[in-house]
Amino acid sequence: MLFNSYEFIFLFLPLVFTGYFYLNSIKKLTASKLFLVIASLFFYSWWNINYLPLMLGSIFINYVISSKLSDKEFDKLLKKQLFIFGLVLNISFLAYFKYMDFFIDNINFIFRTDIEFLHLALPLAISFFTLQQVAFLVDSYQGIVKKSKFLDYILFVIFFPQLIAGPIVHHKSIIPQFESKRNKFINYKNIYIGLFIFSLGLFKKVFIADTFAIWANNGFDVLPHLTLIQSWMTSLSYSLELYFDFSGYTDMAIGIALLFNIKIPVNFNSPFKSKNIIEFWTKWHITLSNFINAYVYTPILKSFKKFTFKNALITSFITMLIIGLWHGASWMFVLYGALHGAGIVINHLWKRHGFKLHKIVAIFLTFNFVNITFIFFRAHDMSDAFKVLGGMFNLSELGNLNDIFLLYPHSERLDQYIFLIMFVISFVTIFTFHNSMELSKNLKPTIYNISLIVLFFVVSILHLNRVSEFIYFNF
Amino acid sequence: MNIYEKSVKNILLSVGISLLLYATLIFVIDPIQQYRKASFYKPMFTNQRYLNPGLIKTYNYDTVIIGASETENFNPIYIDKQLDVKTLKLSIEGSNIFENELMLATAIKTGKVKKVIYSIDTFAFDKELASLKYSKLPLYLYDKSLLNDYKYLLNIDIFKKYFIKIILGNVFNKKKFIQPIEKFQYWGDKFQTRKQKLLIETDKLLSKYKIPNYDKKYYNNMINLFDTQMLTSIKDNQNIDYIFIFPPYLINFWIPTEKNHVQENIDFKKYIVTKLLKLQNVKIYDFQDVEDIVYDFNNYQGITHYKPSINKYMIDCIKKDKYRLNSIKRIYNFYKSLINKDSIESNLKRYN
Repeated sequence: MLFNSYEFIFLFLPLVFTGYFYLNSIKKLTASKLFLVIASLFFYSWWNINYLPLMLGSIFINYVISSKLSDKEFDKLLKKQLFIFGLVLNISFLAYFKYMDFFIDNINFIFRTDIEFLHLALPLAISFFTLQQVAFLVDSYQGIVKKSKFLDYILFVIFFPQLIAGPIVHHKSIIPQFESKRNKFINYKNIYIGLFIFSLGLFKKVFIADTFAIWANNGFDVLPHLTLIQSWMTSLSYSLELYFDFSGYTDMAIGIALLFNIKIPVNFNSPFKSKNIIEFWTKWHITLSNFINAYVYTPILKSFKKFTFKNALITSFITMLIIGLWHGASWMFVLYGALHGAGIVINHLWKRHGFKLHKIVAIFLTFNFVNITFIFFRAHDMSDAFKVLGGMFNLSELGNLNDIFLLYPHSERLDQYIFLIMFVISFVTIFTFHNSMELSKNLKPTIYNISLIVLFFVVSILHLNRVSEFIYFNF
Repeated sequence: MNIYEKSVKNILLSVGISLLLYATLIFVIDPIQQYRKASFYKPMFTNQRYLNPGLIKTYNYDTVIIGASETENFNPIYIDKQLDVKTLKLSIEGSNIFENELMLATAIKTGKVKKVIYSIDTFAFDKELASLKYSKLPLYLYDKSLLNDYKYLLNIDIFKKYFIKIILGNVFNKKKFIQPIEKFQYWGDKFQTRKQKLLIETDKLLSKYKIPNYDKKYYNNMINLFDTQMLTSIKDNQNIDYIFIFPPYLINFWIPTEKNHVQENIDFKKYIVTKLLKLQNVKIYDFQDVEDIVYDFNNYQGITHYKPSINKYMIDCIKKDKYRLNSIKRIYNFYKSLINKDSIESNLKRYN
């Protein structure tokens, strides 16, 4: 089920909210958790129930292993073996479903073989629930996890607001919140703030990101050749789409969780205001960075015999390759990771030599670097990527305003002007405004704020289902 | 009640009231005539996939036209006069077989349809086009359920693309937004022959002239779609008269090259005709081998897009029972003329 759907907003969410707090109000605390688990399973199965046994299997096996690992009486050597087994199992699970065809493709290419693809459907949210469980497994092995009940564990993994695309939550911060007695009562302040964040996220996704998607898709996938102005509009539209789409989704997740008095971590903190690439990764997809830092970067660095600047740089680069590959089974993602890895390495060297830039120049350079790397993130192959990237620096073909409108075909002039205004406003907003999390911190129940929330909701709901135009006359 | 509780209630109430007011406005005006035929304003006719299901429900007719963009220039008033019927045109530009069949089934369900004029494009069964299935259709408009109508009533584009233009047309007299129904998706006014461009394409095709290997899978896929999607519904509706038209494509369509499926299309056409000729409630008219039309480049704007006078001509022929297809022999003969490159070239010289 999508957050931005009628069935979620008008049926699922109100029913789950009412059911959960009703069970809490009559002191059926275990039943209320069970209710949330069942609701989350339903939410997950709405897409495709076939994936459900896989996810439940993964959860069950991880729980059994983690329980053994956190058992203090368990033999140390056996514990180590079991831990390695658990890790290998999770990585294999992810590798099999997500990367097998990519692997076969490369084998076929290198050895000129003709092994058939498996064409496995990627189980939804596999990258997210696997990461959360790996963290739990590692912490269980290190003895920093108290033994949890199965119900608490499964709820931590599948609590529906964060299940599909994060934020990647950590058991330390989530399980205690479900335990807290205070969180069992309806809290109107949380609901008010939750509604604000949810409505803003919904607005970002359905009104802003989905509009930029039209331009980005046409530039990347449809037009065979782009002028300079079209290329810039395409790549910038995609950067805006990606940011508003993902941060919008995250806002919705945070807002919904808050309705249930659960605080899930911030995932974006105005990333485009970053002054360098290291800072960017502390503000973009923060929960992924934190996970990777704790469970990938640090262990790799520790595996070196000596902690040196050079080793740290190598580790950073490898880590970024892994981040790239985590996003999807394609060399384009690996390249995206490599570019960011190189960016981080250069950034560290730069810092070490004490170079400094003016704040505005630094933000400008960082944004442009990120914008260019997103081309590789979005393009299906190198020729698509170079079509856009090459166009951005093709001074011999500048193009004009009408070229921009070609990115939004079959639309009316009014829509196109609205888009251009939206483009400018979005840019001003991401560089100068407070982000949704900053705004929500001091959100007062004023008429102005209430009107804004109502406006976000109404406009977004009217945009959930749009008329698609299909012009066929290709004479 | 604390201030936050009050605020939350105000938000939910305001959102609810705003949406209800909006939905009521759309319901009353009903811009795509889903609930009633427009009476107190002149409606706007555009985007068939959205508008047709409303017309099916709320208009009076006994004959429907089914087909893609080459049927858009049929004039319902002319057809009514010539064939003594009451016609509703249900063309869909770029349609595939699933869309055509759903449109027809929706109309038949109303019990109003006595006659169907159905323009068959064999490429509507093409794997790629057919794989789109119903993806371009707003299916919530094609059923009788009112439960899913919120998708229509709470849709901003209905406001932007229809409501505003209806206001502009009716209140501010902007005529282009409120054309009469017979002009619905009619592009005959804008017809322009593209003879020179098309002739260049013909040369290119002839230079690549080749009868490629037969693609049995492609053919089987088409006949399977015909059997499952089309034939059963004709058999199930014996009380309805079907007039099938094979519309005249420019000869370029039939020049075989490595990349097209001319042989398979011809065989598929034979298959369709063999099956249809067995049915009592069916008449077939084939214009694809009418050399005066298909070799004359002045008639065409694109390979499948001919000038509006040809639409009229086809109706006249149906009235006079001319070009009726009674056996597949004609198709064989036509195909014979195609597998000979010289005969195509000599015909081209003769007609241009």
